[in-house]
Amino acid sequence: LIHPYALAGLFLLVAVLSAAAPALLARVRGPQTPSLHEPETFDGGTSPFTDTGIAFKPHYYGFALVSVVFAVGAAFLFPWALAYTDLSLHAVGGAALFLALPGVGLLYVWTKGWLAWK
Amino acid sequence: VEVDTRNRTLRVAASVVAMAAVIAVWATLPLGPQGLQVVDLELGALYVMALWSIVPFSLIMAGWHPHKNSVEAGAVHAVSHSIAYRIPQLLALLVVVMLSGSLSFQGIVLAQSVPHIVSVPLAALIFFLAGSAQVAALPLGLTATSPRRADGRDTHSGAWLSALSIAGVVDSFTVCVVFSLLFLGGWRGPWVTQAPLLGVLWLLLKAGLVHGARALLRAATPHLRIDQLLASNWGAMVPLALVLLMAVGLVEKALVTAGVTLMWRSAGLLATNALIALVAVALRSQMARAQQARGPARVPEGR
Repeated sequence: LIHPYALAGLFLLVAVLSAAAPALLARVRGPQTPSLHEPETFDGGTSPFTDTGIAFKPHYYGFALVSVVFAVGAAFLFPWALAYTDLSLHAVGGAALFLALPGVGLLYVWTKGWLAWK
Repeated sequence: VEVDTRNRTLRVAASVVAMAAVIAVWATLPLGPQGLQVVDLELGALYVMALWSIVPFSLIMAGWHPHKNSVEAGAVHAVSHSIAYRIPQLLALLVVVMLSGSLSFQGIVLAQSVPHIVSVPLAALIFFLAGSAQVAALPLGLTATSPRRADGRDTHSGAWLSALSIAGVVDSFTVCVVFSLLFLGGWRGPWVTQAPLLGVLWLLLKAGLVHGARALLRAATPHLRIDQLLASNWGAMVPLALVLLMAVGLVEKALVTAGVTLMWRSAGLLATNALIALVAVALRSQMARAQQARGPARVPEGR
C-alpha cells in the first residue's frame, strides 16, 4: 500500500515535469536567438533615466509584523478547529479570548496609524 | 552587446515553480465521490494553503532582474496583491474546518448536507474576495504596472512565458474549484449516488458559476488600488473574519449543547452572519459620516 503523501509527492513530481518539459524541449530543439535588448535597463518603453535599485520604506516592516502575528495565530488555531466538535464551550471561549488579544493589538496599531499607506 | 545572464536561472525557474505549485494543488481536490481523486489527504486544506503560499515566491523570482527595475517593482506589486487578503482567507477557512470537523476536502464536502454558503455566507464572501485578490483578478487586482509586466513577463519568452501564463489561468480557475468545494458542496448534486461521474459535472458547473460571478463583479464595481486593498484588509476584512470566527464558534457550540437539529443550527448561524453584516455596515457608514463631518482628508504638505 502506498502512503497517501507519497502519492501526493509523486503527483508533485509529475507537476514539475509537466511544467519543465515543454520549456526544456524548446531549449533543446528550438532556435536560440537571444534578444540584443535583454541587458538594457527597461523603463516603460522609454530610455532609462534612473538607477536600477528600488528603495523600500522600513515603514512596511510594521505591516509584515502584524501579518506574522495573525498568520501564526491562525496556524495555531487549525488543530483547535479540527477538534472543535469534541470541545466544551469553555475551550471555545478560550480560543475566542486567544483571538481577541491580538484583535486588541490590531485596534491599537490601527488607531496609531501604523497601517496607513505612506 | 554582451547578453547579461545574471539570475537567469532564477527567472526561468519561476515558470516551473508557478506551474508545479498550481498543478500540485489538484492532487487532493475531489472531483467526485470516492475514486475521482488522486489522494484524499487528511490535511488537504492545509496542503492547498501551503502550495498557494509558494506562488508569490514564483512571482518574485519571475521579476528578479538586475537591470529592469520596473519589472522588479511590478513583481513586488503582484506579490502584495496575492497576499493582501491571506489572513482573512485563513480565518474563513478555519470557520469551514470548524463546522466540518475535517481538513480533508472529501470530509468537508461530505459535511455539507447544508452547503456552508447557506450557514456562513460571510466566510464565503471573505474567501471569495481573498481568492480574487490572490490571483490578481479585477476588481481586486489593479496592479500598478501593466499586468503583463507585473509578473515579470517582459523577461520571459517562448515556452517559459507560456508556462507562466498557463500557471496564472490554472490558478485562477483552481481558486474557484476550491471555493466550490469549501462552500457550495463540491461534487454534491442530484443523482450523484447513482452516477458518480455526474459529480465532476456538478463541481465544474459550480466552479464556472463562481468564475462568472467574479467576471460580473469586475464589470460592476470600481477597481481597488493596492493601498485601498491593504486598508480594507486591516480595517474591514481581518476584524470581520476575527469576529465571525469567534461568533460562529460560540453560537454553534451553544446550539449543539442545547441539542438543536442541523437545520435550525444552520438557520441560527445564518442569523448570526446577518447580524454581524448589519453591524459592520452600520459601523462603516457611521465612520464615513464622521469622516465627512471632519471634512476631506488633507494631503500632507511636501516635506
